[in-house]
Amino acid sequence: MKKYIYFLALGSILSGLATGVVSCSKLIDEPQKSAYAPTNVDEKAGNWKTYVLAAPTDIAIAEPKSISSAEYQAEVASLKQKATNLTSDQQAAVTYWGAGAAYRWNEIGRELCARYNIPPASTPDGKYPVPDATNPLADPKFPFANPPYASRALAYLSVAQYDALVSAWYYKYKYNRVAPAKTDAALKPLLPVSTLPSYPSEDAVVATASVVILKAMFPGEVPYLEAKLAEHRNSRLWAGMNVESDLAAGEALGSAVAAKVMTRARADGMSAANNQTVTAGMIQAAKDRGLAEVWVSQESPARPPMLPNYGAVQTWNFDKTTLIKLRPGPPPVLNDANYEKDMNELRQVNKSQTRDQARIANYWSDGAGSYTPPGHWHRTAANTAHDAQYSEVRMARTLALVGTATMDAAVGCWDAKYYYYYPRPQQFGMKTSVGLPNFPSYPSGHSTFSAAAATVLSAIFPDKASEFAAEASEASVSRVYGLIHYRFDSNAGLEHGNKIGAYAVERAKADGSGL
Amino acid sequence: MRSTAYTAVILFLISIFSSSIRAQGLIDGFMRGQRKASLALIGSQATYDMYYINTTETRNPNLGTVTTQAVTLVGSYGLGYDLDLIVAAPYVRTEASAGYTPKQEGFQDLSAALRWEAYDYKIGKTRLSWLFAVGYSMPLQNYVNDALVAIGRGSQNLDGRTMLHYKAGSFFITGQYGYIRRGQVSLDHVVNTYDPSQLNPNSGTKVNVPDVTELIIRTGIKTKPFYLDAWFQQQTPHSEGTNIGPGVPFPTNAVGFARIGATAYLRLVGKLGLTAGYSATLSGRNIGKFTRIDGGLVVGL
Repeated sequence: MKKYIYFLALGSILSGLATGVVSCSKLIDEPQKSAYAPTNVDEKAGNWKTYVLAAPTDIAIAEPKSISSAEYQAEVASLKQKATNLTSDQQAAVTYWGAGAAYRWNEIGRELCARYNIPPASTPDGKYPVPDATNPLADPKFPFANPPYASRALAYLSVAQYDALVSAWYYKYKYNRVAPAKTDAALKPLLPVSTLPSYPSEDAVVATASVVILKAMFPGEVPYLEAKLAEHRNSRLWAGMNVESDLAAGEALGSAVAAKVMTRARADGMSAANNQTVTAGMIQAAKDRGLAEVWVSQESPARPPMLPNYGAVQTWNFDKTTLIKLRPGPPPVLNDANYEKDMNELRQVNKSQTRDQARIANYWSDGAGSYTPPGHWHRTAANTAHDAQYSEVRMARTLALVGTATMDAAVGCWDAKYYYYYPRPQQFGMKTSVGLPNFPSYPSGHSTFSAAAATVLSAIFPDKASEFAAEASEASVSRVYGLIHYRFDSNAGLEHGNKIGAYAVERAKADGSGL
Repeated sequence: MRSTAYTAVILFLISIFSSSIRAQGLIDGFMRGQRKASLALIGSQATYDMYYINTTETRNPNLGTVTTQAVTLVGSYGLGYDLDLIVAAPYVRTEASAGYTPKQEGFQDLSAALRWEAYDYKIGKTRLSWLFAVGYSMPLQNYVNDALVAIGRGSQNLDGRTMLHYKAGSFFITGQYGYIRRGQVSLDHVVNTYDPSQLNPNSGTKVNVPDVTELIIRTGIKTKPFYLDAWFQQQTPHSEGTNIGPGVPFPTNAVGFARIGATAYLRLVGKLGLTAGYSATLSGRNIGKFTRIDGGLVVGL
């Protein structure tokens, strides 16, 4: 038996420690994006060049009631009532959506891409079932949001947001109805109010346009999207930012513009992108050009290649002839001196990959379960435009330029990959720490996406050009460190991506935004 | 009672190889004795060709059999007649037989534990003791933590436990229950999916590693030159966690298992002894279905 006091002292220390260990919080506290009044409201954006709309007046929006009308006064009175005594959940919704409509819907689009970026598993008989758009939640889920799919979903999302906002800006300055807070001093909005006219509501425009696109791209997520839409709409009332008629006009405009954008999407060739019958001809053509060993799936069981006909999907910023003209020249002949030089680099990394090489490979891997390199660059674009305190319409323009450039990069890269049908280093004994992409090697997709996006972002944010170039270059070499690309794949992808991005920059310079 | 010290070391070291192979518990119920020290060098090999996605057994043709080998150095020292310090450091190598996943190799986590025999009660010729232990472990190097084939999960861990140890002649039985608090880890990449229970919507690189509770029951016989035991160990995720899936960070997975095993020790000459052990997995959650053998040398100092 020990001394009682000794037991008590040590016992209380131990139990104190144990309580502390079990109960202390593991909350991950990261800074939230917050609301801002844009540094420039872009009054002239109603004249900016649209992608799908022929003119900002394609969809007619009726003139609103005057702010002196009884109807409007009643709306403001109702708003004042809604904006009082908010619950903490309502306040959280105001803060969340206050970060920006296009910003948040882009984030939601990326989130969905990540959640749906799941390669179908093989069945016991060694087959890979194809996701079914009419039964999206069955296994395998539709879509498989791989990089080409994600690039396209995010491109259409941002184009719909942008076109709808250009039209909204047109009507905002045509009708010039001021924000509700400017008509009634008793209304205390929870978010910063700029000089931007509030009819139609830019938030409602973005939300409804986004939901139309995302429902089409992710048909299994309708309830989730409806809930987000309702929360976004309500947040504008809770914040005292928009009256009902601002929102209703915005909803009409956003959904009508997005419907036009979806008409383009349905006819862009995506439905034939996974046509596996084209591969036989591609393989034969590559062999005829002298390729000694073509790419074959290294998965077990062998998986059909990812979207072999995606190279035929419609591009945004240039035409088919240009696409072919931009295609990179041929990769080195297998086992020639240039091939050996880059293969030796891989052999060296395979033998002794450094921790920093692994970190870079992992940072940029953006593989299964991620929102892919196009999503990664949308994140960079959205965060940079948010930091620059861009207006909704300029935020959407930034995302549309990056979105169309990365989709063009996907189309151009997939065209080149299946044209050359070049084998991956794994066919010659290399391991990989980043997951093995199931399509031909040359050129590197990451490099093409990253160079295209960095070229666009560098034009929009020239102060950060060197940062974007460094990121694109790191993304490109990450594939060498990850052992799934030869350096010549990466270099060709970078060059290709730069050229593709330049077409988006050319458009940006002429879109009326004053870049 | 030199063999007491050795067996304690053996039992302890089996516990520390990997957070994914964390075997049967931090420590046993046998105290070292004041100013007595020992050192052990143990080699082990654990393999699995099936793993649990959540609790469903899965075979992956792109992985084959995963083999993890480790060499662990364990030291122990009796700071007082009722207080022991135990320290261990493993070097681990793990690789898959199929597919393209690269081998991972390096120093894993340094562990240290203090064990205190708080209460010692004689019941006739038998003896019941009540012990407490606190442990801490941290990665010795910044190894890759977010991969199916990895040498560890990279978290710093705090471990608190209590145990009851009953001894009658050469027979003993020990029951212990503990809580392992796992710290947050940083991934090499930004997390892309928002999980309300784990992550912030402005996803960064930091993620939570779920805490676990642990129950261990061990029984056997112990004489001066010889020791043999059988044990059961169950780890249960305490906090909410994810399941293995595309893009799901491995460290956020809820990991649990039930295992059984046996350990033997034999004194050879003087202060030198041999140890060997075997264990098998009964059930699991987001972990490999390991079977494991180990053996090593123990020296009293």
